[in-house]
Amino acid sequence: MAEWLLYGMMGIPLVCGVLALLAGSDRLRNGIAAFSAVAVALGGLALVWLSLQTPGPGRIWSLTAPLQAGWIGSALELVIIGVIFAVALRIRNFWIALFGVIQFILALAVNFLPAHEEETRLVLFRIDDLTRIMLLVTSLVGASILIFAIGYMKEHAKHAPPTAGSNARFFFFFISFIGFMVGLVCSNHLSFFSFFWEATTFCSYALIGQDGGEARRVNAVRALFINSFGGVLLLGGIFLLKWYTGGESFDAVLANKSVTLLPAVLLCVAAFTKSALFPFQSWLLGAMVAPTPVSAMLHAATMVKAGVYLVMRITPGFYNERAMMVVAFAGALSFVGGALLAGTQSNGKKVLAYSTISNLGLVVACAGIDSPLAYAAGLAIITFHAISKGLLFLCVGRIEQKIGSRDIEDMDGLIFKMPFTTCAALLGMMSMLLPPFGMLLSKWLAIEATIRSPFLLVFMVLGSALTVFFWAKWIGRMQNTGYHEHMPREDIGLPMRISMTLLGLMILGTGVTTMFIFGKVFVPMAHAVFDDVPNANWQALSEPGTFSAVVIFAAVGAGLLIYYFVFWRRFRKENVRLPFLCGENIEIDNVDQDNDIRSYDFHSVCGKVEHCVFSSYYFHGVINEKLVTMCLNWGAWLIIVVLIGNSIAATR
Amino acid sequence: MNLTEFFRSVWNNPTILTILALLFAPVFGCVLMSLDRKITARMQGRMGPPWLQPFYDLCKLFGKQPLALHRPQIMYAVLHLVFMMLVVVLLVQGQDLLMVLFVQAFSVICLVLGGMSVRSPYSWIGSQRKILQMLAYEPVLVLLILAVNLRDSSFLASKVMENPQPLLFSMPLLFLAFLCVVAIEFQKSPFDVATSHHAHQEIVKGITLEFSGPFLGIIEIAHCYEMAIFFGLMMAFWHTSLLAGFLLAFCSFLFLLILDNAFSRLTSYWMLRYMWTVPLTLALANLIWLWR
Repeated sequence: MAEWLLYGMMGIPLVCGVLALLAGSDRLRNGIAAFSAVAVALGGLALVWLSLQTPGPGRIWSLTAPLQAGWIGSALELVIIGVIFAVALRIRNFWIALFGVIQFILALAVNFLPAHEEETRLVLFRIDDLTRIMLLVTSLVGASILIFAIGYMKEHAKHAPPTAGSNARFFFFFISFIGFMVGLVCSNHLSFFSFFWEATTFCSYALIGQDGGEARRVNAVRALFINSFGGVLLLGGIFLLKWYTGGESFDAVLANKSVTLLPAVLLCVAAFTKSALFPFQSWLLGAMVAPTPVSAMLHAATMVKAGVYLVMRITPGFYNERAMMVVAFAGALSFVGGALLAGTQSNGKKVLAYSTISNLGLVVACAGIDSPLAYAAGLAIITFHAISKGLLFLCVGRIEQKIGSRDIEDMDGLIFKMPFTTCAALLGMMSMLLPPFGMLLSKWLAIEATIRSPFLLVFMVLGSALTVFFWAKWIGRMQNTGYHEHMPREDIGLPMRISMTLLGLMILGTGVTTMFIFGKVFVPMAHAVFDDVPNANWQALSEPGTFSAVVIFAAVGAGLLIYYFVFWRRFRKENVRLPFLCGENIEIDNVDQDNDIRSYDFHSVCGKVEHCVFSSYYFHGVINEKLVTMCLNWGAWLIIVVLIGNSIAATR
Repeated sequence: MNLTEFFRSVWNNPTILTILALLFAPVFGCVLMSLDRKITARMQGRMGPPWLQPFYDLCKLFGKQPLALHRPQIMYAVLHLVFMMLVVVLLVQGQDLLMVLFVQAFSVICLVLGGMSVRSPYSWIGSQRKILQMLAYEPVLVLLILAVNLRDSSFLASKVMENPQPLLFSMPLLFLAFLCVVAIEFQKSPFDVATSHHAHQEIVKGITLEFSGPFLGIIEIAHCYEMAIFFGLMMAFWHTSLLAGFLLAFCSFLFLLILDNAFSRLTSYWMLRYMWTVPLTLALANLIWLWR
């Protein structure tokens, strides 16, 4: 039963994608997309539920197959590498082609290495707790984004550039992307894993270039270039793994800790490329030229999550403490760097992209800290970040369509112009930094877990302060408005409304139950990973468990009740005053509907109207994005060199 | 039951203690404020207001017309106060210190959002500076809490109180760094960039400009709580003896007042640079020294 569901989860998106490609009318295509969204969401839930029925510790469900099944994976892998190679030839890019050739050779060579004699059956797919979390994230968040895309692409087609690809092409790649991601998180055999890995790379290339034109082409090629480089590292890791142990699965990485450090490190660096950690961040920043649902999909449900998933999967296999620490540093550097650069940007999508990099860095840092508490916190961040970031991208996409700008300063007073979207966006942002939402609690636990490593600590502390800085600026800008007796109703299409509501409900639901989820889901997972580690720091894990987020909810509730009963109901229109501008205010009935007059206009000499605009702090003239990026890239390369060098030295 | 036993039973009952703390913290904050005004006035060669002036001010604010720019502004003022009170509750209950810090940050963010929600340039500038202040002091506070954890292997406030040795002996440098944070929280020069008590150096009152009447009163009460909290935290550096702790905190308070009168306020970038270099280095040095 479960195996057919798994095949369905991988196959149905692909089939639906092909159908969407062939569909003649937009209505039919939208219907197919909606169907696949529902199918993916229900399928994901059902697969998780079915796999939970498996008896035994950890409730691990596996799909075994005869040895020959491994050849299917290898064949698929070679096909997808061939496809990417063909693309490289078409766009005449030497480096991608070179990477393609290396990948092809490695993938072929893996099959000629001797395997374990005693093994007769392979575990192709495996669903354990980590996979279940990723399945839920991919299927639920992915489905919400897919529903949003239906409404978004309808609008998008109206003002897309003439070079843009058709909606059919878009939905083909978009829907099948989810299927590949499901396959990726379920794979245990590395040939399948690397096939799905390359497939997501290819999908992201196609989707980033969706709208055509020079800028998109450059960014799509950059994404393909960096991820192909990651693919080379991945296949190199797989090759070495088979060379050392004779196995070609995640079991082999985790079972033979004494010999697999170098392969594991290579896989880890490959994960960095996919997760767009420094120094590989440029492809994710460039990816925002794509239509917004693509960004949402890349950031929340699929692409970058594949990287951190891989890190979470293999770091328990690192026996070398120093390697763990270097991984933690690589993550922490991205955490601080991303947060710092996000603070200097006024482009909303770029802020979101940097914040993704920052959060993924935090996950990797958590994986590297090597304590049960940090591991659990990392898992929590992956989950909560996916939901919040998905919603935020959808909101920014919708805002961009409506006001024609993605600049934060242009989002002034949006709460009045588009209340629904803005409220959703505010919810998303607040869930990124305020208690009692999951992100803050995970960050809290991550900091508590870092206590054993002083230098890492500085990174964590600075990054956490910077995070508050850039989110607070943005939240303030969006809700800056004058007095309005009633909010208008926002004109928003049904698909967009549904998907935003779904994600908003997920945020609220996980927010209310954060500590419960943490205790019931993530802590047992940390136990499963760390139970056989000799001196893991268990005391740190038990202490935060005593805290209950109920207090904070009670405080918010009490505050809102006092506000409503004591102030809101008594507040009269007569009590409204204009802001203080030395008595030279301009009185207009409706400031917000007049786009030319920005908030703070005042009378100067002889009644002349002066416009003035107030910007937030972006550290202009203090922090140079290019320079900082260069320094961070340099540091990150250094860390990677140390990581690989250390593992070579340790293996010898 | 004699008086000592009565006090002991109150001291050991967390619920009563919490209620008492909630009731008396703002009163104590008001006393600190009036002390502040009185001493500052004497330093400047003035008589200063009566001792009960902060209480009169509050009463007057609550008697005024409830004027505001719009409704959300009021909500943020209320949330600011509620979360400041929650900080007191969590501290008295001996909860996780990092969580206390986050709740305090939430409270400050509410004030910032209240200031940013209205279309007033001065309030906007004040709010931006308040965010920069948070950016400046947050790392030092987190490091302080981590240092406490290094010493006592726990983040719980209740565990810190059980250690027989005063915190000051093991973290003198951190105390100095913490003083800078307190100066920011008390709105003392040279750090009072968001809103200042000294009219001559302020652009129309900064972040609290657009709050008036009872809403300003709410923010003032929250500030009283904040002063009491940070005074209490300074006392906690010598938690073994109530008197010594009080003396320590009081002397630090006087020192901050002198600082306040000796300096004019400096720019927000200067503050950020300073806080991320000197106090942060002090804190780190102390942290490494505590390393085991």
